[in-house]
Amino acid sequence: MSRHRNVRNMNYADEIDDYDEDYDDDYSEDDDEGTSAQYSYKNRKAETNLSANYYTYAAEPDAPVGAPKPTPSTSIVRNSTAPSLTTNFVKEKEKVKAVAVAKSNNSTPKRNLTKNNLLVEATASQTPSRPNSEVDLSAFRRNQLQTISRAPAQPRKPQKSRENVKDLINLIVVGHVDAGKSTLMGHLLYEMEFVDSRTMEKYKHEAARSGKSSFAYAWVLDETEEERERGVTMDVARVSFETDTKRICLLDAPGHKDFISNMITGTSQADAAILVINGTRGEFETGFENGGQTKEHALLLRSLGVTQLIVAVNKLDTVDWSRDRFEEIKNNLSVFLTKQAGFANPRFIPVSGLSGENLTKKTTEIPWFNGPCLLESIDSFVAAKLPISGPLRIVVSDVLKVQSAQLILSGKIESGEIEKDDKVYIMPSVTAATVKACSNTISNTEQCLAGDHVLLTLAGTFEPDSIQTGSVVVRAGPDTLIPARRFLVRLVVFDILTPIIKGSTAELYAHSICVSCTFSKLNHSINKSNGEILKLKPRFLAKGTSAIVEIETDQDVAIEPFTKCRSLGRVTFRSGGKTIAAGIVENVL
Amino acid sequence: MKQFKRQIEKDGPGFVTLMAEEAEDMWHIYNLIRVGDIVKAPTIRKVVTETSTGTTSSQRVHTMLTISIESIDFDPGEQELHLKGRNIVENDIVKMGAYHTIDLEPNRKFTIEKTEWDCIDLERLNLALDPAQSADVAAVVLHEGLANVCLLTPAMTLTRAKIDMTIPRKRKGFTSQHEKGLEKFYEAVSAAFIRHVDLNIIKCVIIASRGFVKENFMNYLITYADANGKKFTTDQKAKFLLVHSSSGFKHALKEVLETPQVAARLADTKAQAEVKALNQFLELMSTEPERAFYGYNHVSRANNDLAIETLMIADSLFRSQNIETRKKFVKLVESVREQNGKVHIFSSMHVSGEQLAQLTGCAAILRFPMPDLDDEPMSDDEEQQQNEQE
Repeated sequence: MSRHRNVRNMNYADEIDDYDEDYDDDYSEDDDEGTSAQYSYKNRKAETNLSANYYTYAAEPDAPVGAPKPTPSTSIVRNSTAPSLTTNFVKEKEKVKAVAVAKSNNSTPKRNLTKNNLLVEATASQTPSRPNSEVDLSAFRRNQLQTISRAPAQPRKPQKSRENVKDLINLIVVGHVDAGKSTLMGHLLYEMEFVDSRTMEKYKHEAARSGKSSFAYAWVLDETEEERERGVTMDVARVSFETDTKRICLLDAPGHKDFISNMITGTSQADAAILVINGTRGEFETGFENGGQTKEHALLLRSLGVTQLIVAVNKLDTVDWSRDRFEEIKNNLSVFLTKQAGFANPRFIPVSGLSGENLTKKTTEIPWFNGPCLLESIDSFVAAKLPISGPLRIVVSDVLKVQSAQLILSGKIESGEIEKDDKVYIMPSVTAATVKACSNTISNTEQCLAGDHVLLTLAGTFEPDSIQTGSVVVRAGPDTLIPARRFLVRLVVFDILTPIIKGSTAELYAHSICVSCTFSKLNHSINKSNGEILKLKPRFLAKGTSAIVEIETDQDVAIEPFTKCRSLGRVTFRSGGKTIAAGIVENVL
Repeated sequence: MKQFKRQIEKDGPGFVTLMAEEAEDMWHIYNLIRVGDIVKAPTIRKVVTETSTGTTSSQRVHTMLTISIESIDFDPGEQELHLKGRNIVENDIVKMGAYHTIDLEPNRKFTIEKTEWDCIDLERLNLALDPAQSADVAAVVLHEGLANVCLLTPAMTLTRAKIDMTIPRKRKGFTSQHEKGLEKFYEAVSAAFIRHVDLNIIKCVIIASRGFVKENFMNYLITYADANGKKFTTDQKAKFLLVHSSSGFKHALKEVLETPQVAARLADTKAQAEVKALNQFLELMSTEPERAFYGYNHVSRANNDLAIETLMIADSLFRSQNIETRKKFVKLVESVREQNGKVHIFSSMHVSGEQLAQLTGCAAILRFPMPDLDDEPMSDDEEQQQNEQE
């Protein structure tokens, strides 16, 4: 039995736990603070597994060099029993170490030390077998990956605490096309004096001249000529501002259905969302019921891991701030948002983006509403816990400059931390690089932590295809990310017309990646609530079913199991301009 | 394709002398020739002669060879067919039983001899000889940063160029980066288009994208062609067709072929009929799953009950190395025809065919629901077969 067989088996049970929390019909708030006890428990468990993995790594001195991975059996019984067996085995022999690792949960240096010890044994013992998928990784590439993953993890310096800094919230604004997302946010930014009045006057003047005076506020965010000319947002705009207690990174998503791919990229970086609803009569209905984007956006938010939601009912000035209208929309939406999409507690706020009511201060126009205004609500979002001590993962969301010796990119640190002079690798192209400079949205700090949007300058030797949006920056070591093209995915099928069958092609979205993929095997359909197998090898997956499937992408991509890194393990499938399924990566094949 | 001589008995032995004229014909030949067939064609052989003193000299000699095929290799990009086999006819320079590889190209006369010509073979042969069918269409599917320039012939979709570029996203204060990136991308696609698409031959050009990319690209292309001294005439401009697609991946072509605009222009091409049939199958899957089945086991069971209305089958199954497998599928096709069922043989070079191939290569729409079939598990050996073919 090779090491990887174990990894596979071990993670399985863990993932089931995870899945139950995340994909259950009740969509319990896994990221919430309320379940922190549970969370930490799970963390500890993950650690134990980690140590177990290392142990087996070390304990198999006669694993053949580069031995091909045994064919993974699909037998479930085996999978579910294997973890407990191995864990017991580990507990007997390696109890002390496992406990040490589990305990060192909070102290990184110590944990790294243990890791190193284990690693020394491992390297001393023998070459472990790598996950040798049938993918035509050239021998060179495979060797390269092997070397990277076997490099010892560098002990990290303890992080300087960032106590004097406000919590960061990545906030995405979504909604049906023409709901007024950009205008609402543009006006908010203007009221917060993010845009000076001279620029605003200029926008107003220019917009009026081109006959679109109502678009003036949207122009704060819609900056390209094309967007202004056509009056629609096409790509996610990003601005940062600060409220009383938080730093907000605002992402303004496009609402048009043709640009949902951009919206997904933006959402994958967000922790919280504002869903903008057009309150005008007839407009809410088209956006919500008749194939509008409201539903799809809401479902995407949830499946991409956003749990906190504000619903801003916009344009209520067009219906004279009618309370009945607000309540009608609220009632309609809350059923959908809580029951179908699984948001715990969406908050509804009446606003007007154009005239600016209820944005930064409460207004007298709406006597019947005494809740907080939009800005206060944004301020009350809870910042997500950041996996700072985790392995380094920076998702590249944009490449600004590629030169042969230097490249500049922007991206989000999903876990870990990075500082100047770190040695990193760009996956999936496996390019080595050194960090020459990194800066986040606040200032040029020396160190950037998980959650930050960073601007990185890397030095190395690059080719034009070394980096793309959707590449991931990682460090060498056992925690590294091995790009692959075949994955085992657990998914929920959305409301679709043509079912998913074996061989269906779709676009795969994960963090900022978009690649085409094929459903190469439908393993089994499962019961949504308890993960029981309903049918082996189903002929097709109709709407609403959950299933475990194998997918194969056209090229190597940098995604990994959900249990390893949450944001890199969430996937969404789209086909023919519709979202057909969403799920999590169970395993790399 | 030109035919010079033909002497064939149905389901019996026979030979035919042909000459391929264009790329499309090579595909037909690839589907016609199987291991075990005998091919006679002109070829070049390197001959090494050794003199009595032991010095050797090699020469390339043109000669006519007859070989019994052992392996077939098709290069869709170069339009060449490499046939490897043993020499079976005594020749001045090549010994009996010596191995040789014949490279078949368009405009070379050759003879194929088979011990058995079945109905699929004959159909393929007649199809290839039919000069009427050829609707040459070029298609560009694109989204920001990715474009596929394809040529669609009745039996094939050839990707001529794939442009994959990173375009910087819009960023506060740096919008020009994004616009510059787009411009570069359009330029690359236009260059590829001009290089690979001859507007004098092509009957229709489809440009498909989401959003406004197609209009922008079209405008860019026209100015690009103008600037490079290849100004489009009004006639040529009329060949362009702008269609919506959800992405720039190759599989978006399937969506494109479904749109009514394109359907009207391409009426009755093979690609279109295939897409239609497959869509009907998929729709049935969701509405009446008991009438849509795939996999040989299910399909042949349905056939035994005379239930098949439309049979879809991938041509890759007929290229099978295994004679038994081929016979099995030929029998299935014949039997469905006897029952007045429709049979579509999908070209595996089309997007729809690629999908069918993934679906075990064999699917059927039934006349009436057969719910009890559903309970039967799909057999494992089907997948094995598929893997063998791959």
